[in-house]
Amino acid sequence: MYFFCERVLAPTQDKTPAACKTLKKKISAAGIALIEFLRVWRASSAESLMARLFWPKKAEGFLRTGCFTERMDDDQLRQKLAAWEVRPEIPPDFQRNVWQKIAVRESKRKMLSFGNWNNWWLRTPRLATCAIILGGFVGTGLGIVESSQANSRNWKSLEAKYVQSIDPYEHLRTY
Amino acid sequence: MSNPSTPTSIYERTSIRYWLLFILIGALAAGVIAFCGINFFGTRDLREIAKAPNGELEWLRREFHLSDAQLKKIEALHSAYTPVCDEMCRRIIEANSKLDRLVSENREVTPELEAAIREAGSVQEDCHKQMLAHVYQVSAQMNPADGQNYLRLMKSRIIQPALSSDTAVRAATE
Repeated sequence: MYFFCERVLAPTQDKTPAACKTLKKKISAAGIALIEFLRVWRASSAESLMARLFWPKKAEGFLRTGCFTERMDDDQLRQKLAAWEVRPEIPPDFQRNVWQKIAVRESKRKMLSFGNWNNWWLRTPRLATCAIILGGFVGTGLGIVESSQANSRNWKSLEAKYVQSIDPYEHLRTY
Repeated sequence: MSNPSTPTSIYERTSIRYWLLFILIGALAAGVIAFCGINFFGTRDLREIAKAPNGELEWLRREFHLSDAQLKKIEALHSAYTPVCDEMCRRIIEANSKLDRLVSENREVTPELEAAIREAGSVQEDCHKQMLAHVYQVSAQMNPADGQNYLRLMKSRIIQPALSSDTAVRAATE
């Protein structure tokens, strides 16, 4: 105990056994509070925790026993636990809501990605648009190249046609 | 997996395989349409010129930047030269047929064969003279630079058809 006080307390603080006992109680209480805080934090989001802190609701379920809000001994705790009743209240549209959530989640998964791809541009309509635009660009590029070559061929054939029109040997060669 | 009471989305009803097929067909269709469109409209002008009866003169006009007046004069020269060219063709056919027949009939160079050879050469000479005269007349109607280009092209295509443009003869003459 003395060693614990030596390590934790500052040199100027009181290190008598009574002071050390008080300090130990405080640390235990703080530890319990921290464990409870972490449990609540894990069970709910930070948002709901803030709401619970600033707009406290009526205690429900296990909290209704007051285990963490009241100081009680083991007998009282057993009594409270024995008195604790669970009355599950299933809303009438519970099943429908569950199926709707499943449907929404499935549709989102199919809509948002192909397999494991999660890139935004791979979403189906966008992918279709990109592919069609890309196809258009490729077709345009190939069309420009092909039309340029065809024009070059036509130009040469016109030149040959002119030469044939003035050169009898070339004229005869073609017939 | 889906509940009949819950409305299913289009993504559930249309499988990814159909989407991929649709994308592939769409991209191909877009490419083919773009290719055909560009090819059709890009070559339409020259195709129409090639089909036209006087397409070669339209080529001459564009290649050597002829004005309407220049083109009109060249068209007149061309029309006047056409019967000359036809006459040349007839003479070439006659001379070559005669030479061909005599070469086949004889086994040695006879005086008649010699005359046929001279005749074929004479026709070729006349042909070259007529062509060259026409080429000079046409080039005279053009702007100097274009006329020079025209002469150069005709020289390579008509006067020296057997010589390529990069021979030792050409290098020596230049």
